[in-house]
Amino acid sequence: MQNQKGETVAIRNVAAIDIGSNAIRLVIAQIDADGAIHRLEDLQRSAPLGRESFSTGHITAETTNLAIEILRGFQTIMAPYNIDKLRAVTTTAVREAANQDMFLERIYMGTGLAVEVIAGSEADRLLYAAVREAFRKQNLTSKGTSLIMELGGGTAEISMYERDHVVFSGSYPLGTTRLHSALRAAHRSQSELVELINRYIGPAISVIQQSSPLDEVETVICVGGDMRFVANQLAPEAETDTLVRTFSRKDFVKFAKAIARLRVDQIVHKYILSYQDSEALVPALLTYAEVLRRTKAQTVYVPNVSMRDGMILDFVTEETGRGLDEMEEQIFSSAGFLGLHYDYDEDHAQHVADLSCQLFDLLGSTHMLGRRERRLLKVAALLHDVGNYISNRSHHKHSEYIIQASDIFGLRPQDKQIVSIVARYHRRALPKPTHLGFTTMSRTDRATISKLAAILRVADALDRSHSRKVKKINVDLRRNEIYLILGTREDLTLERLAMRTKGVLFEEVFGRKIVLQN
Amino acid sequence: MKKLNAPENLINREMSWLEFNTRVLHEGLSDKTPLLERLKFLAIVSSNLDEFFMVRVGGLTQLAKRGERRKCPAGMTPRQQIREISKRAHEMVRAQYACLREELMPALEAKGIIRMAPQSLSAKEYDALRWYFDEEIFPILTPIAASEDVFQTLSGLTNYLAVRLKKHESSHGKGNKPSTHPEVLGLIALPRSMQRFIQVLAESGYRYVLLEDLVQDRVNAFFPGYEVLETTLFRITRNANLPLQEEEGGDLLDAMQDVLRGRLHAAPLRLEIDAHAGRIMTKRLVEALEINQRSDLYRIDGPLDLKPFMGLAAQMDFSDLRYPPYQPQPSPVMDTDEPIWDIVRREDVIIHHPYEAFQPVIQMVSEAAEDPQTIAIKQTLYRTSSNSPIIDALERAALNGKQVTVMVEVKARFDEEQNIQWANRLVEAGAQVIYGILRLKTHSKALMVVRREADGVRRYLHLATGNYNEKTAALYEDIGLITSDEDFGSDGSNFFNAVSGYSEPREWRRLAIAPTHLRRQLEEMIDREISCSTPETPGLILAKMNSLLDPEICRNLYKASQAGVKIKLCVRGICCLRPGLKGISENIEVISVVDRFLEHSRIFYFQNSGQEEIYLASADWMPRNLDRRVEIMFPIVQEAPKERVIHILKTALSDNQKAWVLNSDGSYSKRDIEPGALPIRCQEVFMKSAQEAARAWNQAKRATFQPRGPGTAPGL
Repeated sequence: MQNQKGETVAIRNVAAIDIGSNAIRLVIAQIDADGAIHRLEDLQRSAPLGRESFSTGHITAETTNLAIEILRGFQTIMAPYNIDKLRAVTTTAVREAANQDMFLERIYMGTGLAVEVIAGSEADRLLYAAVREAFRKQNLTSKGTSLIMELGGGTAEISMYERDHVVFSGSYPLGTTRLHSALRAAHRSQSELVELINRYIGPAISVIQQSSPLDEVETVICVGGDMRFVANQLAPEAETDTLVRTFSRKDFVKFAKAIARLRVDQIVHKYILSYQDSEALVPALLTYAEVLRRTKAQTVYVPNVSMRDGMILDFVTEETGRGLDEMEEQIFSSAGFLGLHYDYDEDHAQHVADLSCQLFDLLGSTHMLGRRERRLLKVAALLHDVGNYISNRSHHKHSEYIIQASDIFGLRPQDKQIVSIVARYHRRALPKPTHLGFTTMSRTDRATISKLAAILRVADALDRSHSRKVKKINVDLRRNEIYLILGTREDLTLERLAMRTKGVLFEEVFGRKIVLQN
Repeated sequence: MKKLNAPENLINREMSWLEFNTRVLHEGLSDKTPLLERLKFLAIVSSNLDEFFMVRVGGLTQLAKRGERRKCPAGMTPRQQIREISKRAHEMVRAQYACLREELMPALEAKGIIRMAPQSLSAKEYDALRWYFDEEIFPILTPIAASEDVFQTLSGLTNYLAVRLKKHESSHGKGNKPSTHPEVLGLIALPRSMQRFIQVLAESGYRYVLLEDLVQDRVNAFFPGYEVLETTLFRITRNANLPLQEEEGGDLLDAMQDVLRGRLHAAPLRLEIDAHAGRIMTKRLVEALEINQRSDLYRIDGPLDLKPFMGLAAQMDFSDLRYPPYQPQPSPVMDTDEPIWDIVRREDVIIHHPYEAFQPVIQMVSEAAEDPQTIAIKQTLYRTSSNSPIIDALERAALNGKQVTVMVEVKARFDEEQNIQWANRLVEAGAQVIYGILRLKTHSKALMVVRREADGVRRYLHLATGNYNEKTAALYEDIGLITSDEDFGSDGSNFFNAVSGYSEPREWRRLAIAPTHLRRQLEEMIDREISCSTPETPGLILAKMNSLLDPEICRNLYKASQAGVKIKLCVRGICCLRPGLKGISENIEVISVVDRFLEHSRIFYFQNSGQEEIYLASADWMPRNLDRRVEIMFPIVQEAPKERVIHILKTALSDNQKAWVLNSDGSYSKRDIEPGALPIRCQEVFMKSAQEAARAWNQAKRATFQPRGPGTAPGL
């Protein structure tokens, strides 16, 4: 960015738009040269996207028009700020609409905004980044396993972490809008309604418990408007700009019970909430209470953050590199957990990943790739063999679809696609125009995939014996050859043999023949 | 504990308003007030009463006619209120005109300001007057024969001349027997738009003939062939037909609004008639207008409709008969060559009008309009003057490519047409003009300038208790804050995004907004004062506002008083809180300051166990402001500005020259100077200190050599 005198000013204005189940939101922030964030604008307008897509699977033209109008208003607000970077995302409400494409296209035609449909895991990652930053700013540390829960209109987003590593993340169709759509049918007395909600929540949470060990959770972190409201009531002495507020589980359960006794109109009146928020409050609090009951946590943490803060932090990472290491750590650990889930040979996978990265770095500028691609290579290397879980035959193809179908924390859909295809090409056939997955990618992505697959094949060949003979590689780059100096006295016959077939792609892509040297 | 909800704990708002108008009248009656200012105060009394009858009495009359017996919060039925209003209004008008007739007119005459009867002029003067009548008056006025229908259509607040007529015998002269023609009544409207004072040239002084005197003198010209038996001036007041103000009883009135709107031509509420009108004339008018002779007939011994005398008092060149002119002073902080942004970035700025000039506010908009670093200007405009320099600056800013957003409140009753004119001008320049929020009047006053500076985006916010109107800013007492604090800036964006419909309101950092948060925050602060009050260090609440009539707030203040919290209020106008009731409000004192400038700022102070908090607001403590309007209450955060505003509030509360004390029975008495205390007239104190500050600043400027460098904007 340059000012009018042409001096470079390292200040960026960025914007994050989130098209959610109940509302469309915009945050505009300024990022200083040192990475400090100043929130400039914070807007929100209700739009019943979730109510429509969860009940009929279809977003109406009327609501689409409303969304366009809201976004155009946001563009008016953004206009004077000269936004440098903008990311617009949407989650469940649009993901679950059968007319998703039509909706996104109408938004594009109406506003020029290309809205990204993000997976639950990406939403979790963004939220986690925001929560961690809030905890850090307030010098809080989370004890043991922590659980982050956000009850949205459409889904309950639940993710669990141990010492900054994600151990589990998933979305469950348990949102408040959904609950209310399901229960709205008949007029019921307040106690019947509560009873019904509880009967509905219990089994749903048991499903969660099957895949995630709720009973090990010691720290419960709740995000979202409902719990911020509770924090306003239970921790009012804290300044409102306190990032993370806390209250005891006991107080919370008592409060939730008291709220559940009120009718919606009474809540509206007593707490000056909108009708919509009041309607969602009782199911939300009962759900939180039920999850809480199944954990060990005695304290509830309510950070005043949202996914949009995570999006802003991503911009900070892009602009300043701050937080990049942590983000990669999380991605790799998430990939590791996926590997464990599919019984991968952890030693081999980690070793191939290590060798791949060594090769990537040693090739220096010849591949013209950057840190993102290195990251993708490492994930592909970690997961290249997971297809063995299905069958050893054609396991590379199984790897491809397993990766494709799994959530890897921190990977965007396009990144995941690249990773899955790179993993597919770790053996056998070379990339061909007849391969559907490969040909649908852009030219740049195809080139990246070929380069990464070439490196991965070499690395995999170097551990052909799965015995980690090669530890540290040195390289001698000649005009037509590349000498890999492996510094090992061990017998490399198997590896040399493997390289004959596995090195072909490398020769094609980098124009150099591989020569192995002890 | 005594029962706090009892209606007798509150004062009826109409009675309290009448008390307020009586205090205004007192300024007119007082011989300490300069002569022409006295005339002006008497005119204000009339103009206030006109609106009061139209709006308040109009509403109550509708309720009474529907047989509504429910009581106001102070326990009076509509009928009881109307009866009491009539009684007091009659007394007020009698005192007002007695003063005009017996004191002011003779005193003015002594100074050469003389109302002349046409008959008393010299032949030459009379000829000139007659010429004026023939050319300028006669062609415009249209006499009409009074019939029942005609009475239905008479305009409110206009002077009419009623003329009893009889056909001349001569015009039917052929017959010999005396014909007995029936008497007829002719009416001539004297519209307010016509020049009321017709000047008669004089060597010194100011001699004038009133329009109605001249028309009465020449009345025969309108009715050729008729004999004029009697002429009388009269004036009626009609229901304004506004949906009744909400304060009264909440839901009840809401439900009735539609019904009320339907009734356009109800009988007039008030008939003012020249006290010299004869019995026949009076009876004829009273019957035709369906006036209750006992309660709604006002016999006026003097000119009807005194409001135009305000203009008379202002236009003449008798400076010794007026308050010495006061020139709003430049605020020392702002009176430099430095760009306004540099000053405000250093410190928050408080401006106290009219003691300090309105100029910095205009300057803020016009500097922003020309400044390349400005990216957006947002502003609420409620009532602004015609050809306002602020509108000009906003127009320039839009033409210069800034994003300009203006929130216009077109519901501001009396100046809708004018608003629409300049709004169109702004739209043509490319500004975005937004008209009000559905059902909510935007009464708050806020201005925000967004600049892109070297260290990023910065927002400058001006928040105030008074409107963006440089003319009233010279007459109304108001306070404004200019700040560049980030939290205020964030709230500023939030506020404009919400009122312009781009966003639902988000969390507020500093501001408390009505109708969502303001009331609750006030209640919480009163509660907090209660909870930290001890016998050793009692809590303290100080507040200044225009009106206090919210029953809930009154109850909260009573609770605070019972808990020992000391409460001192300076309420210029209506106050429904009854101070000094044993066991209920004995810790509450209420005063009212009525002086040269209209007290208009709202300041709220809470001692908060020594962590003092002080707020300014656009809102009075009225249900209308707290529940039905978009209002802003904002804290003063920085130390020096905070101390200054606390000082302003305490000075107003210590006035013992122009202050009145509200008694438990709802009456007001002049405040006594405590023995040994110095006389304090707060408006004078503020005038003097503003002048001294400006003088000291000028000397300081002269005493130092200031490098005259270019503006040191740290931008770009």
